[in-house]
Amino acid sequence: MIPTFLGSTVLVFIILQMAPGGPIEQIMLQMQMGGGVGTEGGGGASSSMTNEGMSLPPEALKELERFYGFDKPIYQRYFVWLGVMPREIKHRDFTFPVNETIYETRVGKKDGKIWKVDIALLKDHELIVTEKDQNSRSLWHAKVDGVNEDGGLDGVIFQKEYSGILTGNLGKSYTYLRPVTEVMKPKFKISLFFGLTGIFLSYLVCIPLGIRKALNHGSAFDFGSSVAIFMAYSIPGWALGGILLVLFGGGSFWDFFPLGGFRSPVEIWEGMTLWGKFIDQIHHMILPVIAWSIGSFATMTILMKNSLLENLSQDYIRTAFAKGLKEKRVVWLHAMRNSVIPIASGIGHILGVVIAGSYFIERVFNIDGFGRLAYEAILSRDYPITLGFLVVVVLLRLIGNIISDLALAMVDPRIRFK
Amino acid sequence: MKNTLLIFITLMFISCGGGDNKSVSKKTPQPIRTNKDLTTSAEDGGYGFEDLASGLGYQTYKWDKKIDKTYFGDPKAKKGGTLNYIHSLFPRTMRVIGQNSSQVLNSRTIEALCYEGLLGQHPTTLDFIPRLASHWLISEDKMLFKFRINPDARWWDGNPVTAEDVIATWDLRMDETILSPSEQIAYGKFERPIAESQYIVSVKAKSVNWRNFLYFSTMALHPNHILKDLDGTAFLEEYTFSVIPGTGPYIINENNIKNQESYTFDRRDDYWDKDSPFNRYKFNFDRVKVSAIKDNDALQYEKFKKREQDIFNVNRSRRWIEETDFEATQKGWMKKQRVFSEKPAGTSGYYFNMREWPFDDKRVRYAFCYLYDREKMNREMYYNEYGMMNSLYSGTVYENQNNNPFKYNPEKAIELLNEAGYTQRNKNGWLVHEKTGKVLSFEIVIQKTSEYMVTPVQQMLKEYGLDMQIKFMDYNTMIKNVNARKFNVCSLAYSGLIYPNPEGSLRSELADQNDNNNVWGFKSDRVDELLDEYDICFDQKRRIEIIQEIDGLFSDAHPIAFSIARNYSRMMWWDKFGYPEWMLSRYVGEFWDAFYYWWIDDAKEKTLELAMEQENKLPLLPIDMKYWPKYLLENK
Amino acid sequence: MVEKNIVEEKHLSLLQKRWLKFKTLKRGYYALVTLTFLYCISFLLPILINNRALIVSYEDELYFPILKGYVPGQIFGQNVPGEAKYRELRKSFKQINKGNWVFMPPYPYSPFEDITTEGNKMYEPPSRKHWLGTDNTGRDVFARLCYAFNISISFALILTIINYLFGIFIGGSMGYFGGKFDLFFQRLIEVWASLPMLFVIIIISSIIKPAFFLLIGIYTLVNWIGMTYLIRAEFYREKAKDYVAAALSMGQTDLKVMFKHILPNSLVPIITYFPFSIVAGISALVGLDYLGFGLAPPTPSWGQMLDVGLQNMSKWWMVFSPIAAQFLTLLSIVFIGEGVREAFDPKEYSRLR
Repeated sequence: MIPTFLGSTVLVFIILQMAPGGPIEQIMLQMQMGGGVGTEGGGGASSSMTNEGMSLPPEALKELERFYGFDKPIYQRYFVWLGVMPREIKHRDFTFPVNETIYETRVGKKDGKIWKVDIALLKDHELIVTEKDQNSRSLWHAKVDGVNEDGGLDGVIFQKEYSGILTGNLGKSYTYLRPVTEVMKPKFKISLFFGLTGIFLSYLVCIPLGIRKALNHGSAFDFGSSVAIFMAYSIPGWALGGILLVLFGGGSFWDFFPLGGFRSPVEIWEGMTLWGKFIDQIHHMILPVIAWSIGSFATMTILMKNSLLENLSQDYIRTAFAKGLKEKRVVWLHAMRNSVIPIASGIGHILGVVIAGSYFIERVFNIDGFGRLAYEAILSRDYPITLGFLVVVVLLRLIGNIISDLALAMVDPRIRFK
Repeated sequence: MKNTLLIFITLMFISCGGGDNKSVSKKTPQPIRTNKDLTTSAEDGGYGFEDLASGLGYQTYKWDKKIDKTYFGDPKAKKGGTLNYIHSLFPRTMRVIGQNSSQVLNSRTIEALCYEGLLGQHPTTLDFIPRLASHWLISEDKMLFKFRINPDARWWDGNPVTAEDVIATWDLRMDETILSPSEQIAYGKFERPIAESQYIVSVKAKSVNWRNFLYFSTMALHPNHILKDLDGTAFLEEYTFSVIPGTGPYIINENNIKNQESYTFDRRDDYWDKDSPFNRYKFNFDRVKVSAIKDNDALQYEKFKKREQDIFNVNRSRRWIEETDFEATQKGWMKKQRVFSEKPAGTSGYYFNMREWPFDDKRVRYAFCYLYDREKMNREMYYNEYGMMNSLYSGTVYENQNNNPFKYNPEKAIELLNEAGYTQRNKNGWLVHEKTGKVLSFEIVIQKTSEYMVTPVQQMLKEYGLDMQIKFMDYNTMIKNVNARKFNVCSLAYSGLIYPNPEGSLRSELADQNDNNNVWGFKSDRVDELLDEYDICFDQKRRIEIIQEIDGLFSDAHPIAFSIARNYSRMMWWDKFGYPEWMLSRYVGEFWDAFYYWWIDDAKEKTLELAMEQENKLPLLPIDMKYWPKYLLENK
Repeated sequence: MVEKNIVEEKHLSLLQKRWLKFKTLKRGYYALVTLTFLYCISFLLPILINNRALIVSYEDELYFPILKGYVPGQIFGQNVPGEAKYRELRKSFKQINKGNWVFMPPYPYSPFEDITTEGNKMYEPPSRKHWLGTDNTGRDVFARLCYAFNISISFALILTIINYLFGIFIGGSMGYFGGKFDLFFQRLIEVWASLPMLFVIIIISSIIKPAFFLLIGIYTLVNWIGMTYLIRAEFYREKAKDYVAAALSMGQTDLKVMFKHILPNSLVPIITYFPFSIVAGISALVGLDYLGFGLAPPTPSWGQMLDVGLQNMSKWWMVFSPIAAQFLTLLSIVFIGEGVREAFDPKEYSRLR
């Protein structure tokens, strides 16, 4: 697991750097404000009065590169992300006056007071930072950036911190400007809730249906249900979701269900009784869960059916019948137990899929889930979230494998954990 | 089985309920009504300054019933009610200064409702009007500006607005750690402001430019008593999803910000300027709720139809024509209108890269434009909803009326192409250059959403042997390529400005640099000269002449195949609102104005409820609302 | 040597047996016949559904625009700047009646011509002229549907075959050699599987224009993994069997053992999986097109049609057509799959007494 983790994060890290249009380029774009997308009738919406069409001055570019850590080579950035190298934060430029050895500067605020430090210049352009009026070494570090025209030194002062994945810190999202874990947590819960309900529902439908189809293999029922589930399979879930919303959302036709959302808006939600919340939640979940699980119906049902058919043709079933056991007992006790093995071993794998969520369905139903978060992060080049997402997925795969093994052990009598 | 399901869902439900939505509610400081400050002398800007003002060279704007009519809101307006609006984004931050804050949504809602600048602008004449400052002074050399802040002005928390607030805001905007370099460029044109007294602040510009006063006077202010404990980084962190106190008519309570879901404004009863004629009839809704539905226009529309949203802005002509005809609109419960205004239409169309073959040749650009039959597209696809754009400043006074309209003219195009050397067609029907043998084939980069607008153009060009290959890209990649000048043609739109600012897109020296708005590679010595003159020209008439000449020169080089223009907003709303006779203001011209000038009309709301219950018809409105075009005719 | 021949003979006859069995399974058999037939026909689409005439007879001379490609309209005395407009040409020839004639394809609309061409309107409901109506830019939905069918199936077929090649070589080696080799590739695959493919596609498509084979390449990057695992498992199991040991002891090389002995014995799961792999391929293309990273417009594709259809839900024919087409294709492939599986399975399914 560890080599896999390192391997995939390194690979993704490199790929992220190659993707065009990173955060700095987006800031450049915001400054230009030129980027309206071609809409049908004329320009974008804003008619702002100021700041059209400026380009980024080089100092500002440097500032941004420092903020995002892009002034470091890629391997260093990776180690910083892992947390084995320090991250440099809170950069501030200063200019060391010519012929001086000590320079006092303001670095921010601490305990409601202005925080000042002294920077002392040693030989070889080395700088030492001490707290103002105390001789202790400061949290701050400084380094020389270059010599300016007047012979003074351009320097930068910053703090260092070890904050990476190994310290449990996934960094800060570029879009939300908040810790990645904090951004991901609520969305993760939503997707988990959602996905598990979906899985549960599809198991609830698919296993009995698959059994029925296997027992009546070749019958009209088998054929009819095959047609039905493949019809469902060939309509993408998000397309069906869109259609259902228009039909039953109450905007245009029948008003049975709310128009999207994970649950009622918070202000209403908080005023509900527990029972009311329960009903509200189910009310909101029905359409998206249908759209979500409709695609998996086909594969799961067919898997169940084939697996059962396969087992029914095995010798041990013959033997069982030969022993004179009743049909029900043979099917439900002997064949069934072996038939659910492939389905059980899939549970862990499905977990990963669930969490990754479905961007499309979340978009159609306006649910702020994990899939949408990841998709938006990719499109807006929010690297910390993308990497955080990857970490979660890799971890889940690990957990998924364990769950699969457990599930297998539960249904497969040959496997026992010691 | 069923029982298991129930238990299962209940478990999930309990495990998910609560927690994530608990908003940390900081206590909003209770407003302290500080008493009137009587200690500051009139000379220093205290009470009584009004009488001295003109003697000291200060000017101001007085509300005048004849001229201003209802332009600052209708006297019939009633306060109360909630306006529900759904936007396709949630703001990336609740700040209006610093990283990620330069979005339309931020400036139209948060900035417009919660913050004020020293001065405002008259919605119809664009004259400066008092806001936080009651009087102002511009020195002879147009370099020094002085403002006298109204001693009545108060922040939400009751503190008075002083000159120190202006300085603190300028300091904040100039702090490079707010990661918004454009602020430093805009406000770096000034020296640090100086507090002449508690209420008088002066600022010196570093160079002469007629825009300086506009920039500085309309800058939204933040309170010094909070900023003084914050540096740029801390400001970014603390106020990303909470709101720093302002002076404006609305407040956002911390627990009304539901991240990624909605945010709600509450009207303040103690707004310091609520009785002034400029604000008395504005800002009527008690609550304005802005919810987000990301990237799903269809759902937004359904919500509007279900009355979960009060106003709706229709962007696509297809929806306007094909999907706005149902019971509610037929019976007049829901109103729809095209509201005409003088909102700058912006510049949209196919932007050529003039640095590279094949569009380095003016004749090829011209040929493209003659073949691009936008009138046909308007007729066949856009239901004749639009007008044609022929200028960088379409629909404004800056438009050069002599620009070649490039009407569909294939004969002319073929002639030009022949002249340019494209005389033969190859086996597939593509034009080939007679000397180089190059096939006239180029690539257009677009986003997937504009596919339907581009494929017909592709077919039009194909008929005449121009091979235009379409390539989809996601937005960031596309802009990246355009900024690196790696494109032949792209489909873009520049938003329009009330005061045109061609500096960033037409300067010759920008043509050879990447990452700026001169995407075409436009170069002209004459335009450079004009741009130099434009910046220091304080005479609006001359400025119009300059821009018109620039527009003419631009149109002659024709770096853009202009597409269609729209100088109206397509609005739909549930019929419960009262609004001024002009509906949307002259230069904003969009639904945002409903936030500021509309109100809930109780009588109308009752009629609507009754009509919907009894399935009655309400009177319909004419489809076009042309107050501003008429106004323009009358005031010419 | 003699022994080997026998093996081959048996093998052949086994295949034949299976084919005979497959033929008896009517549902799968007919689905196969229909689909193959339609797919073959779809290569002739340019002469069946097109706006370019097959033969034009003008002033006693025969022209074959369908073969020649671009023929300027002026040649036929038509006053158009570019290519001849054959439908109008046919009309005018009929009116003038001078013995000139145009022989058009049976369905004389191309999947590309839109409102640009005179007489085409957007959102036309199905009619005798346009069997499935027209879309939002006035293109014929039926024509686009048919062309997209060919592209979808070709895409899926080629994708599947490439995946199989990858799977057999890499998965086969992994299963056969096992040990460190296997372990190394397993890790590699795990790393590979964690790649955010959307990024890869965005990066690639920002550099080169997505074309048919490029897309296949991209999708292979994602898809070979599943197939590899399947074949690895199969080889792993077979390798432990006696016949492999026997072959090895007779001095056969590894390569020969892998491909001559093990491969034929692991065919059952490989072939059974084939139709499902095709279905996955078709869906993949639909998804890519929907996201906008698919084939360059105006290439007809089901994904694009579905996308446009959903934006115009009130025009039922635009939603219905791509969904129905996809449904019928998937369904018949699934039927084929069921048939194949049953034919290849040596065990009779015991219908319960």
